[in-house]
Amino acid sequence: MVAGWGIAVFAVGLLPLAGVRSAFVLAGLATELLGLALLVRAHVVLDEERERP
Amino acid sequence: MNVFLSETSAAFCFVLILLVPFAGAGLALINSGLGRSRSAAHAMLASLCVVSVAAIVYLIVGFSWEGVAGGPAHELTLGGKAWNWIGAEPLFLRGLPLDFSPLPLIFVLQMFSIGLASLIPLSSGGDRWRLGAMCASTALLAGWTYPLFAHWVWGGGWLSQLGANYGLGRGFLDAGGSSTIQVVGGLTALSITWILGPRRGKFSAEGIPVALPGHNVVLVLLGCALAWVGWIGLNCAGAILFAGAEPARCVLVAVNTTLAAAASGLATVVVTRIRFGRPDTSLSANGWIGGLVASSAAAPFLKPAAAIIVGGVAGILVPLVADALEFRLVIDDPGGAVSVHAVGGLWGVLSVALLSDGAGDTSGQWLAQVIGIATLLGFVLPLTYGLNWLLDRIYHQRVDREGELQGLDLFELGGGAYPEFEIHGDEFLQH
Repeated sequence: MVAGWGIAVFAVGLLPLAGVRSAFVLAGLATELLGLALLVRAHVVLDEERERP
Repeated sequence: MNVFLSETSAAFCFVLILLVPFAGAGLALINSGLGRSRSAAHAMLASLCVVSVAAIVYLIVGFSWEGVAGGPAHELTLGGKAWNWIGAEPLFLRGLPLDFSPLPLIFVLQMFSIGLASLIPLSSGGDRWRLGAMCASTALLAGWTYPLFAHWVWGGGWLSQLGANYGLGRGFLDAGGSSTIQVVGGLTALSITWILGPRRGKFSAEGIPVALPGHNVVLVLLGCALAWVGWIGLNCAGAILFAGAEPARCVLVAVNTTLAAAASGLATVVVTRIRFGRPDTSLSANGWIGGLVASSAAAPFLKPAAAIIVGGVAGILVPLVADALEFRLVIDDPGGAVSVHAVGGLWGVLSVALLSDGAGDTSGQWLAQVIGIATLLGFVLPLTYGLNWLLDRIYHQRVDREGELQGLDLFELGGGAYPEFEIHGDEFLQH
């Protein structure tokens, strides 16, 4: 998730062309969503283990 | 500071700021009402404690690091541009005159706002979060997470400068705190639900959720009414101090805030009526708050019809996301903080680019808002999760099994909210 944020921030700071910059920002956001999905999945498994008697 | 206020305008703004604690009172009542009767006194005392901790920590360090637009700050250089990343005001408010000038007004509004943000995670940790851990977690929120992000948005930080530095519309816009207060609080609530785990008995061995209804829906609805008043003050004061709106624009802000809440509450009534066969009171109350949350970012920039759309969408999102979190993602969020504050707030941030009539360059504004959302998900969530995870390693945040079965009132406070009534055993647990 932090890597995705890094992609978005560095795209704004370093890429001058609007189209390329937008594409990299969206790619960064997509990377974050992937990280979020993994985090959610990890906690579903963890909670299932907690609930198990 | 680029906000200039006449003495009359400053007095008017101060009165608006004084309405904000009603929003906090509303959230406290909602948290208590959506929890169980055996933890009701604990929920209310916890609200007072976290608001107190937030105010003190914010005074000591928070305001210094948040800073104000145009004030002293630390900067990094990236691609030849200065990136203002943290404020550098004196600690303990040293040298700040407490009068009607904009700086102290911003401090007071922020002190109340951080109190509001710190109440949001309480609803997700209901019935299982220790009082001491709540206070420690709030200190991290008020001392670090909130001031840092609020500086980027309201204190002249790099998100607010995206327009000036990179031509992205007017930079990241959030007049009333959909992101700074609500999403930051909502993401902290999500972290807390994950770290604490679900309430005992909430999910069956097969992972099917069990209904644990709130103990007093009248408190919840009273909380909604109080929150409405508080939100009008919050959105109006934010419009004046952070969006540079004229005080006369507060009429539009109050209308938009009310319309968004109304549309959202009604939309949730309809969604729950369709989904469950009858309207669900708790979810509808959450829908009302979701509309208020979503209205904050764009209230000064919306036409009234657009405010109805903002609220309507929030009112559809809130119950659907609450369902998805519980049924699909096994997240136990008793007060719906994640769906109401995190999701409602994110929608509010997007609505600035989608529906606002004052954003100018639409594509640039879109990108600025998306970068703000990327920062919330990619930086604020890992930060608040990491801080709370570390805290949990040092000071276990979840109450003992015995305390959860007994109820937090008896276990942590030694007395309940309703001493004349019989305290029920855990009738929801599967034996």
